[in-house]
Amino acid sequence: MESNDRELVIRAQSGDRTAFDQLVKFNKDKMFALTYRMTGDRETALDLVQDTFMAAFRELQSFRAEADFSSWLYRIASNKTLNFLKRRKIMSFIPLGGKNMPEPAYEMPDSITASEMNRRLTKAVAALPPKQKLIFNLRFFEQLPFGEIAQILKKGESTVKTNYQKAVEKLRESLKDLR
Amino acid sequence: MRCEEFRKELEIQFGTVKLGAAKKEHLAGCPECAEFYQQLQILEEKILVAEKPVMTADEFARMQLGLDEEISRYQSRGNRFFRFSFRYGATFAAAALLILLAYFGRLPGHNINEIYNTGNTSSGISIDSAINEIFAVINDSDSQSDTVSVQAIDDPYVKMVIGNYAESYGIGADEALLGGLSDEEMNYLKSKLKAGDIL
Ligand SMILES: [Zn+2]
Repeated sequence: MESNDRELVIRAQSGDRTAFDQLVKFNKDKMFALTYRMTGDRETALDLVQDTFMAAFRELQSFRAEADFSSWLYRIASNKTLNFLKRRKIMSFIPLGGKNMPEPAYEMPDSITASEMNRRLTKAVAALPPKQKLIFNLRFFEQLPFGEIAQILKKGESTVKTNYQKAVEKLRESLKDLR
Repeated sequence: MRCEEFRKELEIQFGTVKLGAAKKEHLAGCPECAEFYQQLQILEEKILVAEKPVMTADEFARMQLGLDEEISRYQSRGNRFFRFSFRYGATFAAAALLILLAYFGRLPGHNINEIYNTGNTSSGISIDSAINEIFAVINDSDSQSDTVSVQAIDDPYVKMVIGNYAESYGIGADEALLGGLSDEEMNYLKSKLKAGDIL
């Protein structure tokens, strides 16, 4: 755990509300990025982040310092998000900015526009099964090691790797013509 | 390493591929895998242009406000429960005493009439002060938000009133009032009750 988080967690566990607020501040963007990419809706993502921090507040005493605080939060957020997706099958997407989108090197008769490519990419990621999508997000975007993802999801590391590989394979297949 | 295995390995490392000597060697000698690797790289570049979603300041403020409210509700839940039950307890105690006084007052020859008229109980305290004493106990509990410390009602007449009430009306209807009693008073009440009553 980052030493900063560790100290804050100890203070928060002893009832220091300011320390808890700091933990929220330091981790909010990580949780938001995940919940937003998973759900594709800002309000839903905000609700899930709030739920995550509320659960963390309630269960703070049960948190053991051997784990990373952010891993613990990722675990709560992941479960909440998967449950949400289970409850309501909504389309999710990766928001693509397109600012640095490289222009096609040359025009082809059937070339597609950047925005069309964004849309396709978005759709392809959204179409991944929830668990593969979660693992893809945690690994590719949040750049967590497979071992940590395995701990977060309480799965074997090889299962996590297989899921990630399947996700990449699906993305590659569905975006075959996007080149 | 076989090609299929090699490509799966590249997919597992998607986003973080580090080409070691063995991988470079395979790529150099296998055009199909080299093409596959190039495709993966292009895909990675395209996905990487995705902007990292960040909460706006306004969104964060709203989320924080919601969280604050939720935490406050969570923290006051226990306290509110006690305040709530004692508030009802107080109302109930008042009603019970009025009923009691009306009941005893109607009974011919019952000495409570005299007691009431003189304003004194058999133990020498006024009915007003007996009522006040009960309310003091209940209100005291009400004002102490997170502890339920109740001082004993140490007056035999008050005990009798509560005991008679329990005998006459049954005690189960009245858990809020009983919640405000000390162990001693509770035992007193229990001793007044017949077997088979609620408690
Ligand atoms: Zn090969």
